[in-house]
Amino acid sequence: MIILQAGPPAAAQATRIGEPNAVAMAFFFAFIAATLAITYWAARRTRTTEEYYAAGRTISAGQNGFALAGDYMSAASFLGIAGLVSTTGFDGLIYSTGWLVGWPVVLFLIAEPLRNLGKYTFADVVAARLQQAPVRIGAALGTLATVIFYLIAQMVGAGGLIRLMFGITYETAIMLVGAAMLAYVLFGGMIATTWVQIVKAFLLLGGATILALLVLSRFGFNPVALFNAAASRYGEGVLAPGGLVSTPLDAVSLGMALMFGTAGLPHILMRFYTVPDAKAARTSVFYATGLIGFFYLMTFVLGFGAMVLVGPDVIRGVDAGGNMAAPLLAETLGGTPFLGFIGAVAFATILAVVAGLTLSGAAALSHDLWVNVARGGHATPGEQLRVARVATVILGVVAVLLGITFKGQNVAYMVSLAFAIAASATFPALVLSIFWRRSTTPGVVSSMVLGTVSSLTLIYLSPTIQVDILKHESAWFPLRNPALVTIPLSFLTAIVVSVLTPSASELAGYARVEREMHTGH
Amino acid sequence: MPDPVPAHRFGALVFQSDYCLTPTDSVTARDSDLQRLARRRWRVAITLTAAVIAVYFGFILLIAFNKPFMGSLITPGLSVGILLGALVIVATWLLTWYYVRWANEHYDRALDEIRKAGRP
Repeated sequence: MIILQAGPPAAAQATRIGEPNAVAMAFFFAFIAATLAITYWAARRTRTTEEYYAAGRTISAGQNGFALAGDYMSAASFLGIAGLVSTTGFDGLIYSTGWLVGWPVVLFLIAEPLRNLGKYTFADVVAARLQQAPVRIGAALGTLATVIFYLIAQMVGAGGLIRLMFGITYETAIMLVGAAMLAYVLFGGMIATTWVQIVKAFLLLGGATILALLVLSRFGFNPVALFNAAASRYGEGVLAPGGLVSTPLDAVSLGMALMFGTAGLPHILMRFYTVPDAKAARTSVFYATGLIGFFYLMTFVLGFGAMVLVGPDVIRGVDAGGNMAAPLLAETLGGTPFLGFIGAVAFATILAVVAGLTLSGAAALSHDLWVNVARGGHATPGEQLRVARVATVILGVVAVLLGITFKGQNVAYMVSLAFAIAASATFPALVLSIFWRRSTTPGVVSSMVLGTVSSLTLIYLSPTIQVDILKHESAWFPLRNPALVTIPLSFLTAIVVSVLTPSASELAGYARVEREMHTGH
Repeated sequence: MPDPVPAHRFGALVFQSDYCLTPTDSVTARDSDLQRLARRRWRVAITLTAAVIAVYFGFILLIAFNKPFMGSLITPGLSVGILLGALVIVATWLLTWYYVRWANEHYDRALDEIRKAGRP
């Protein structure tokens, strides 16, 4: 057996992954019970739309920092990056850095103007001095496309993970996630969603830290000794770049999607409305960047720890994608109980991200499309809240159905799709409407529509879909991620169309927007 | 109401905007002070954004075009690539820290002065 050559510890050969795990169940039900208690508490405080969408703007900077980190650190980063590092070495670390560098961009360009100019969605900011209806329809298009592809990725990932961890069927797992998520969002709104994120961020950071410390304790608390053990067993190649960045254009394109996509993710942007003012928004990104960076530094240790202590062959044997590296490492170091704990943390992680995504999608449907387009901004508070809850249920059902439909699909391309759409549809329109006084309604709307359509089209024509999934010989478009083309295209469209359609009233309106952006009123 | 903003606070740049009417309009004058701050914030924001882009894409391009350098070992167990990867994360922290410090110390203070100047 190959496993024996790699010399893994005995525990890895007899993994209990895939069997119902009592500890995982116990932790999972404890998490569900605690979060439902939070939801009950939050539901009594959720009477207005401001409370439903923005937690009454009472979340502190520190709390929002944890919630932002919770929203962002999905199971993909915890399981996926640990898996990539454990099977490819250095190449996995390219993702660890890539997922973090979007945060400074959010801080420098987006967070404070967004808080000062908007109410519930980023479309509030874009529409601040432009025409309401076209801007909101364009914004909702990009938001819903982003949210739906992100949701599919999370749901499909959840189904697979939970089936492996708990031994229940894929469909049951998806419906369980859907039901719990709907309970949080429907009754507890943003208050419950925020606290679920905070609890999840604590669990994920705590679990990963304990795991990393257990790994390091085997190597005299010296990461370099751990890397050296990996290099001496699997060759110095694991510390050097390999085949992942074989085509530089692909790497730059993915990098652009990650860097500018973060600043266009609707569930992240919505978080800035939950804090009292722009200074709190600023401080919360600072905390979030610290927490997320710390988490990604730990993925160095977790990934190489799994490589040395579990072994790449064992990891690939359990899951071809390497996604079970962190749970396997937990089992090796802490036995079945620790495996159960890490499994429950991963489940909580997915559940919380799904809740945040659903709420932001519901806000686009109800606040942007229904209230501000269909009803022309005239809807009673009661009606707004009812519509928001109906939209939440619709999105929850859609998420469950899509999760079941896309069973067994490769989910990686959907996450890259979500980031590419966010970076191409939302980010250029948002930045230009905030910072460029000559941007106009036709310019911004054409950028949002073209950004969405072009990224969807180019992903469909990319090798990921054409070659990997549809099994065609070649792909029309060479890049796996379209951001390198679609982000400049979207900026260029906004600028050219704006210059061709100058508007004196929209230009004059910029003075008010500029004042509000800085002073908040 | 007296002109709330001392005239000496304005440089030549202040009244060039296309919607400012007259220098004696106090609302416009306050906005012009704000515009100057807005331009300053934009310069800081775009410089720091360019710095993040340079750091991250510098890292990616080194991986793409100079794999042997990234794979060379500083000490056994520590390659240049791993060290630079960790430094990208540290650089991200430092840049966000720098911006927050600048905003807390300079931007907020200037904004406070503009707000105060707005009240009689």
